[in-house]
Order: sequence, then C-alpha cells, then structure tokens
Amino acid sequence: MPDAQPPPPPTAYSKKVCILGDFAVGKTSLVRRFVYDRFDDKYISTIGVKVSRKVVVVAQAGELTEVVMLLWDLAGSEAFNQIRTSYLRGAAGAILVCDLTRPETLACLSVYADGLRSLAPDVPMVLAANKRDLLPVPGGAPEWVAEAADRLAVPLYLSSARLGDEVEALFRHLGQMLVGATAPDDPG
Amino acid sequence: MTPVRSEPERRESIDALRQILVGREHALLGEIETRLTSVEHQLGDEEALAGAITPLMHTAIRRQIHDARDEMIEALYPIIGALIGRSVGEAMRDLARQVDARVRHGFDPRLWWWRLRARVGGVPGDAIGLRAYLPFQVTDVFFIHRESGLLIHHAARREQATEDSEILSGMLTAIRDFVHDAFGSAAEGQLDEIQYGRQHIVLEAGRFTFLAVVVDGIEPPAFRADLRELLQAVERDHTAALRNYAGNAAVLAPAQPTLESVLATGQPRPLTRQQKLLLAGLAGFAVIAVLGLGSIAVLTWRALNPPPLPAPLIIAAPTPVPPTPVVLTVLPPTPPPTPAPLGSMRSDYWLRERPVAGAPAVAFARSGQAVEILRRQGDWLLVRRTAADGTAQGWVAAKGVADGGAPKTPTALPDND
Repeated sequence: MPDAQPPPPPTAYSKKVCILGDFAVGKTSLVRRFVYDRFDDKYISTIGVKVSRKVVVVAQAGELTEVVMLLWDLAGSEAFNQIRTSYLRGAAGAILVCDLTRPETLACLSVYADGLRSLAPDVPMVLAANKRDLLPVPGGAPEWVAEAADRLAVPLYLSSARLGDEVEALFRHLGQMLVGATAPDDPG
Repeated sequence: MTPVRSEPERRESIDALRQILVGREHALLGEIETRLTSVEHQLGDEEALAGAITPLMHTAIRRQIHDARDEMIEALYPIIGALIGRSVGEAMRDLARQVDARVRHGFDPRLWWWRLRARVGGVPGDAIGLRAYLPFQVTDVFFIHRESGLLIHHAARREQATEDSEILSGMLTAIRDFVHDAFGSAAEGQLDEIQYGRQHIVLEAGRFTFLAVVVDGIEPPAFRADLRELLQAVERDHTAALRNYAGNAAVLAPAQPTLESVLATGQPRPLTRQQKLLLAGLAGFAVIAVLGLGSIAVLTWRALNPPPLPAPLIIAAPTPVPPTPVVLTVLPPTPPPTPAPLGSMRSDYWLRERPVAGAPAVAFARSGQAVEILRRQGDWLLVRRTAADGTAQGWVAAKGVADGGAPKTPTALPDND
C-alpha cells in the first residue's frame, strides 16, 4: 500500500480587518474573546489602535483556505477624523459593532461604513449587535437592528462577548467573505 | 444583709468591675498584641519584611545621597567603578573582535570609497576606522505592505512566533501612521527610526512597502542608502505582485533571499568568487605593469649611458703604410643586440678617440673598407671596422663614410688627414 501523501498546506491569506463602533459597545471584548493577543489594551487609548490576530479556515472552491485576520481595534470615542481614516487604509474587511442595549450606538456605524467604502467600495462588512446577554427578553433581533443591517447591506449577528455567543460565527462569516467564498445562511 | 449570689453571678460582676477598672487598658493590650503578631509575621516572612522596609530604605537612601553625596560616591565607587570598567572593557573587546573580523574577511569597495571621501573632508583616519567598525548587528527584517500593514516576510536571527511578527508589523504600521497624522500630513517627512536602548528600528519606506529593520548597535555608513537601494530593487522586480497584493505572501517568496541578505549587513563576509577573480586579475596586472615598466627603464638607462670604452691596447704591427704603430682597440666579443647600419669609407681615414678634429687617432681605415656605424653625434660617426689586424672603432667625420656601402668617392678631408 503506497504511503499516504500529506495534504498540501492550505493557501494562506492575510487580511486587515477593522473593528469599528462607538465607545463601550464591546469591540475590545469581542476581539479579546477569541483572538491571539499580545499587546495591552492601553494602546487603544494611547495611539488609538491595537492589533490582534484571528485565524479562520474556510472552504473555497473545494479547497481549504486559511484566512489570517489582523484585527485593528480602533478607539471608538472620537469622531471619524483624519487619524481614523489613515487607520482604515488597506482594510480588506470590517466588523461594525453596536450595543443592543443602546440604540444610539447604531448612528455612527453608517459613518464608519461610508468612510470605509469610500476607500474600498466592495469591502465586506459584518454587523455585530453585541451584549445580547443583556437583552431583557431573549429572542430574535430587535427591529431597529435588523433595519440598520438592511440599510448597511451587511449580515447581522447578535453576539455576546461575555458568553461567546456567535463571536466565532461572525468571524468565520467575514473570513469567507474575505476570500470570496459563498457566505453561510444569514443567522439573523 | 448581703444577698447570697451564685458563682456565675459573682463572675459576671467581677468581669463588669474589671471592665470598668481596666477595660481601656485591656483593649489597648489587645491592639498591641495584634500589632506584635503582625510584626512577628513580617520578621518571619522575608517577602513581607522586604515589603515593609523597602519604602523606608528608598527614602533613607535618597536622603543620604542628597545629604552626603561625596561619601556615597566613595562608598559605591568600588562596586560601580568595577562594573563600569567591566562594561567598557566588554565594549572594547566587542569592537576589537569586530575590527579583527573585518580585517580578516572584509572586502567592501564602497567602504573604501566612503573612507576616501571622509579623508578628503578632513576626518582623521582613526575616527573613520572607529566609525566603520563599531559593533553592529541586524537582528530582524520586517518586509511590510505599506497600506495594510500586513507582514509579507520576516527574516530574523532568532526564531520568533509568526503570530508575534504579524501583530508587530500591524502595530509598527499603526505607529508610523499615527506619527505621520499627528505631526501633520503637510510635512513630507516620515517616521524613519524608533529607538529603544541599545537597539533601534530603522524604517525605510518604498512605494508599496516599507522595511522595518531592527538594529543592535550603531549601523555602518551608507546602511540606510543600501536599504533604500535594496527596497527599490525588490519593488522594481515585483511591481505587479505588490500593486495587486491581496495578502498571499507566497507570491513574493522570490524576494526572500534578497531581504534576508540584510541580516548579513555588518558581518564579515568571505570574498565572493567574482571578488577573488577581480583581486587575482588586479594582482596579475600589477605584476605585468611592474615588469614592463622595469624593462623600459633598463633599456632607457642603457641607451643614455653606454658602457665606457675599454682602455686601448697598443699592438706593434708590421704595417708598411703608414709606418707608424697602429693603435687598436680590442673589444670584447659581445655581439650587438641589433645589427648596426653599414657604410664604407670614402677614403683613407684615421679613426679618432673623440669626435673632434685633431683628437688622438686610435686606428686606421682604408678607402672602401666596410664599417659599422654605431652612433652619430653631430657631424661625426662612431664606426667599427674589422680588418686583418683585428676590430677597432673610433670617430670619423660623417662625410668620410658612404652609407650602405655606396661607391667610394675619393674626397679629400683636410681636417681628418
């Protein structure tokens, strides 16, 4: 019996992904939940960004593809200014984050999405409506979040960084979008 | 009459009385006991003891240094002096090793050119040498996509986790962007160096990428120019791949050897094959040039300084005409390197010792006799004639000799008769 050939290493792609959202919506917690971290969170408040790494393996055209996401967790307390624009350059994708308990945190997301699309028109994005565990009534997405996702034309995930709900799924979905694979069914 | 109390009642009364009389002292005693236990615990636990006295020691030392600086220096000198001495010694040994290694193996024409320029600019030779050989090492080379901050290739002396390198590249890009934005995009300058202690990160940006090179020590002259040149070459060779870079570093794998060559900067390099051939060629050319110049010098000297004529040998010969003794110059049988031009005597002449009319005659040449013309000086020729009485040479007026054995024209030469 001939020796089994080792499978070829999957094609690896590195992609820059920006995590965008208002102050205290849980961006950093979302990133911290499942990523390889090295730097302290204090960098977000000093230079306005902290880079982390998340790897997902997705199927593309029958072959496995490794997507290394370099997650740029951007400070969310400032306006969409010049510094933020420079951090968005070269982004291949983004995760837009809002707080399910604070509807007003949706307002800035369209600004972020427009800013990103002005730099790269077809950049894939995912909306993470976070803090699902704090909803008074567990269930589907509130109407205002679903409308926002439709308006932004992005898939919606109701996530909980505290419990880890849907965090892996939203990263995997974005990974598939980044390499142009067919997205899974919309969980929203 | 005092009522009879039971034992518990009596004890309770005594306790109440004791509380009234010494209650305060009792509480104080309890507090003292607690503190004593704490102190005993701290004395028994080294960590706790250190934690307790460290703030005091800091304050005491600071105050002592402030109040008695000289005494403190005197007290610490044996320790600090030795430490400094050892550190300086180690640095000098590093420097010496670097110099030795460069002298043994180094060959860098550009360094020579830089040294020449510095000398022309008035920098002392020792300073140039020291500057060129300061300890220096490249420990990491990050080749980073400029816009996205994605790591394309990382070359390092030590193994390092890929995850760390990728995150570090992102953070370096963020810091670079941050500085650029913070100091205003109007300024054309870019962050080109980050220093931390002995090490620093040299940043060199190209059109699509930038290099972040971690350097330990002081980089040699022209290091930055070399980096720029290397980066330009890599970008030129892979323009299409870099312009459309989508995060697949494998498409730029051919650039890796060039990028890794940066790690060898500052290290003594053995001569390459081309350099060895060049050196051999130069050495061969130098030998040939020396030999050629030497030969030319010898020939020129010989032509300008002919060997002196040997002393004339007087031989008595039974020659009927003229009846005077013939003075012959006997020459050593050394054939001339090239045959001298021939001529023939137009008439009978005396060959004279010097090219001057009336100079002493050394031999006689008959009319029509063939002679070798050895030299010309003004109107005089130095000729050699061979006859039965031997070979002789001497000066004769040029007009007395017909070149190429021309037929003789007997012409009287009164000054040579």
